[in-house]
Amino acid sequence: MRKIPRQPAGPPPAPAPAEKPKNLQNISIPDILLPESLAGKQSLLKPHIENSHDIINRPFFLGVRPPVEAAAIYINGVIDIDTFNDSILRPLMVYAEDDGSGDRPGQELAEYLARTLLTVAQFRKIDRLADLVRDIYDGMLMIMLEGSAEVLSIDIHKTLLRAIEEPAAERGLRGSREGFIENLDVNISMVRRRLRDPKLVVRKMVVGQRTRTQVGILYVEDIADPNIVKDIETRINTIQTDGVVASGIIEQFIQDRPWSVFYQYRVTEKPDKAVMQILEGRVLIIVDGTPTTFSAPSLFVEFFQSPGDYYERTPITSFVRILRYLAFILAVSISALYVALINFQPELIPPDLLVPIARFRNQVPFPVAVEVLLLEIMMQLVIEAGFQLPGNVGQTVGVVGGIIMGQAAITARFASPAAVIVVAFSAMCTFVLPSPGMALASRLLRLPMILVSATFGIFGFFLMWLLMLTHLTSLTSIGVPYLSPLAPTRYSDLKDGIIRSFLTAMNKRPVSIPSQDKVRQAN
Amino acid sequence: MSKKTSLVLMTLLFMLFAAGCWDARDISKGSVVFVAAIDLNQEGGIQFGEPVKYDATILMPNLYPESANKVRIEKVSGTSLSGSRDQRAYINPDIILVRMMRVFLVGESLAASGIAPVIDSLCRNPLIDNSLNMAMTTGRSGELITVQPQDFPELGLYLKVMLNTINEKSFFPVVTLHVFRTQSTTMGRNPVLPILKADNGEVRISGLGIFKKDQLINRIGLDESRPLALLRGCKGRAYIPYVITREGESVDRGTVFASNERKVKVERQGDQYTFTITITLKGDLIEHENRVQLLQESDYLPMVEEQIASKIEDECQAFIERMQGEFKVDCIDINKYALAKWRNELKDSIDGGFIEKVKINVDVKVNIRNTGDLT
Amino acid sequence: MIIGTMLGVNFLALPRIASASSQQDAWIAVITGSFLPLLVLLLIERLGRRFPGQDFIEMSQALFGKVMGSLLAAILGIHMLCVAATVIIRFAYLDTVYLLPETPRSVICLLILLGALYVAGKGARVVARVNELMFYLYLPVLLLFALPLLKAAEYTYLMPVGGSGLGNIARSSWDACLYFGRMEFLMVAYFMVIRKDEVVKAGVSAVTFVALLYMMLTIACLLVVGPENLQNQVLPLIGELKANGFQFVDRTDLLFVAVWSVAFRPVFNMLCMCGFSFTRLLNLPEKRHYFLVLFIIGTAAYLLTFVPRSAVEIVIYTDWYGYTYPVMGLGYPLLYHLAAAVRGRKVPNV
Repeated sequence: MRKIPRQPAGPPPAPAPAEKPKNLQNISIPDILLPESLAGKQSLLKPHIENSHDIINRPFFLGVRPPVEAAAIYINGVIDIDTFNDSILRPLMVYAEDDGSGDRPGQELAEYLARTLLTVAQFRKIDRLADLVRDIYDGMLMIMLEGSAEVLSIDIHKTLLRAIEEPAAERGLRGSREGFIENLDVNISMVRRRLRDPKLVVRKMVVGQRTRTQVGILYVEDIADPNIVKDIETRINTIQTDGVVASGIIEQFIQDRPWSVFYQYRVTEKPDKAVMQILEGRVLIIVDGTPTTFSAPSLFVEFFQSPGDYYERTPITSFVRILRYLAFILAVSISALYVALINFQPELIPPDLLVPIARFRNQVPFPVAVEVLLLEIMMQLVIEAGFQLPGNVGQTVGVVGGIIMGQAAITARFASPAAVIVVAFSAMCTFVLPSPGMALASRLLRLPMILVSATFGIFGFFLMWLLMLTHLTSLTSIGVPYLSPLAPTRYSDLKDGIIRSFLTAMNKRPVSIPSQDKVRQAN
Repeated sequence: MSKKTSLVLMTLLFMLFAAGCWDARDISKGSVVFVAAIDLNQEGGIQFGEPVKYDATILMPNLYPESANKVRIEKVSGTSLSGSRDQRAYINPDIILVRMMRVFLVGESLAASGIAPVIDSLCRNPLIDNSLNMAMTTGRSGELITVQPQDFPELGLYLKVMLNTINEKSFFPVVTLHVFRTQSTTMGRNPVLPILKADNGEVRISGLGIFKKDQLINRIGLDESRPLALLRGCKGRAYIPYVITREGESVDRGTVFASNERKVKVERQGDQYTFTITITLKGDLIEHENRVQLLQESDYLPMVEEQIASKIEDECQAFIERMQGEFKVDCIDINKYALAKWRNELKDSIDGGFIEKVKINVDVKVNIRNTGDLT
Repeated sequence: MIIGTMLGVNFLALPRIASASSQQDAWIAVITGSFLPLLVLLLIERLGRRFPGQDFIEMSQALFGKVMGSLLAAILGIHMLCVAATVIIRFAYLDTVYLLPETPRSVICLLILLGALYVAGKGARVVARVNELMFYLYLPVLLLFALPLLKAAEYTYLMPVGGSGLGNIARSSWDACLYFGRMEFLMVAYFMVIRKDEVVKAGVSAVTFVALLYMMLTIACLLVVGPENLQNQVLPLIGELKANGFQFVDRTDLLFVAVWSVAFRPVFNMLCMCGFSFTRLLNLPEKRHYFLVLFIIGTAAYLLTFVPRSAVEIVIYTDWYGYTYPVMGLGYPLLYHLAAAVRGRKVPNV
């Protein structure tokens, strides 16, 4: 391919109109009208496709009299070759010899062929070189005719799709077992099937000059706040990058605070969860090629919810939710608290517990902060190794790393049992969290917590919590306060915040997410 | 907030970290004081050019597992209580952590000379828990602390549990630092302290010390500590044995396990104050020897109740007489009720010559609620 | 937010102050002492109603002319700065005594200040939200004080009610109301609140809440420690918490101090208000220079924390500074009202 100069980085461009994103015009293909002769078109096209050996140029004659020269251009493996043969080539070459199609002038011919002979669902006519090249690379089949400046661009995509299966990261005991796959259209259809509201808006955008990834934005028109929808569309439109291969990349481009360790959008692979998000007035963003979708705006409390919560009994889910908050607090603080107590405020430990801890500590040569940090890093490495290795091997590594190394560390007087318990416990706590993002955040937050606690004891510990809470309070997700409904306190939302109240009691949509239609259900 | 300023802030914070850790003290390198025993110094000596006043003996659990001894006991002397810690620098490499002290003992001679000065050292340290237990010893407390109780890991735990839970098995006051301090400094109130005694390699409680403010004025034995605790309103549960005699012959003996409660009423006629102390004992009959069927003889239990009540009433009256005649301090903590009504009038006289002149009536009520498995 | 500003560390010492003259009747003094902040609140509210749509700086300049108005506003700003500094010192004192005895006080002051600057730097909205959040988080902590009551309460310490004499109670309530202070920050804050009609309601309920809380704390301290002993303790509330150990929380006092040690809400509230007034005063664009102004203010407050050298001086200085609260809190609104009354006809309300 030719080298395409990148657009110079300048001040962020003004928001482009939603229907025709500006960044589509970035690649420097001369935007000229196509000539009428086939050879002329071929020669114009040649420099753009000659380095792509997977592009097939199939010349043929239309079965009209006199025969008209034509050519089909497509990417091998992207189009459905059976459809191509049966519904396009065969009619054009064999059945076209009827009531004098060949008499028609070139311009009308293309239209005529498409209306009478081509038994395919989607096509469009293009007459510009830039569109031609782009459509070829978007995977369309091109039919070019001699004597017609118009080219037929036919969509007979057939990609091999992964089967729809339950996402490994979000398993639930009850509820749908379906998960999103890599294909945008299939994903949208999965949402549509669950949300048959004519007000459901599906808006597609293209992001990335080179990858030209399709991004779908889904929301219910009369629920979602138009300002938020507009904001999200603007943000996606202003993304200036050459490639987007996953939803995570889009997510990072449109977030409010890139420095924060907290995820600002909630990610899901499950259509039932996604529909629930849309119904609460959020906007769902699906990126082609990624099964993980995300919704915006998101709140801190959402990361402690799982879709299964709504399918189970209220007291049980409420208890589980409280457990999750507890797990987060413990995951972030327990090792830091251990350091602070042992080093600074031992009087807060009951004396009967203190003496055995101190006796074990006596055998360890390192200061307690170093001991805990070492163990913590070890534990994080074990977890990371478990993620990297495939399925069963990962589990084995976890067992080997966790149990054997922990035991060995104690025997070798490398660490005291109390420290091992504390670190292992905090690692356990992170796995309780339903959102992997929050688990990662808690793993990272632990380290500064330990450092500050090792320096300033329990004062530093609580100071860090203050700073963390302030940070959380100041975060926004598409302009919506992240820590809502806790701060600012919205009492009506708390029934689906820390606990989950009865579904029959949740008559209103959450106030924390701006929406047009506040009422969810009648009494 | 711009990036630059946040960067500056973060650099500052990291500089702090680099310099920090002023207070980091690893507990494994500390000596945790569980028991401290303070005496008046007898040998004499000079520290920093002043005559030595106190001996401080402390007991610490040994945190080094390799060592043979379970505890470490150190005795140092100094012109002031905390000043004696200077001497520890020369005999102990570890940091002394007094914040987790559980029991504070004072010797008899020190108690007699007043313990307010040594209490100051405890209360001034903000990290010391005011709920630590206090006791005094017969003779020198520094000697008692060296006794290693048989079958217990160390003396600190032994004393802490014994002094703290004694009211679950007997009518006996539990005295913490907070209690002693508030009572010794509040107008009209006076504290008491349990007396510990070393006896054949065992430490046991042998009675109560009666204090006037912070000064020991007298000691009573265990026989008198029961009426004192009941009169004082120290809540507890205890075994009350009884013997029923008919025509000079004991016909039944048994035990009631009861908890106590006290109510005080005070009336005034001119200068004559009359206190009425009502002691209510509620509990279970846990033992009686003869074979009287309690279900059939319904007047038997009231008889037991009456027997116990009259016996305790006698004990209490005897104690009150001794208090008014001999101790001349309010060691049963009833002055406060008079103060609550006539605080301004009594302000000056309450701590001198008030308790001797008042009239104190005792009324004991016993209520046996359960009789156990047998009838 | 009002609650946040009023609840500093002072309340730990309040029982001592209140009981100094009135002994067992300190709690009555606390209640009567709360009338002053209510008065201040009402005065400020009346003032705000007279000048709708103006912020504090504009109002003072309209009333007193450009120079005098700016000067008065600047004095209030500096006053808030000093208040912030005194609160920092008090918190640092608490922390050095109970938690970090070896750490230099300057470092702790710096830590507190940096923490407060971080919060204040996020802007008024975040400050308000943090206040809201902390109020709920600290509610259970504040209730810790009730624990010792279960075991060690002695009701005769409160008797006889009113026995200490009216004069003593009055003296105590004057002392106590100094501890209620810091309502003057409302002068600036009032003009930032959007729903002004709710300010009075929120303010009154806040003051009532604080007064009730203070009263309960005072009663608790009196019950557990007794009026004579209260005088011996620097922070009697902690002494009260210390009185008893419990099975599950052995050291309620240290737990309380540890959690409370970062509750320096007055600091960042004051810093935030101060930052906004000075940015306005100097006519700087708010977005870009707010943090810079804040930083300078913070540095000034930090320098102020070096003034007292010892714990005793901290208590003396901050107590002494407490006397300015009524002057600033009561005097300022009165002065503005006076000026408004005098010039009311000449200066049309914009």
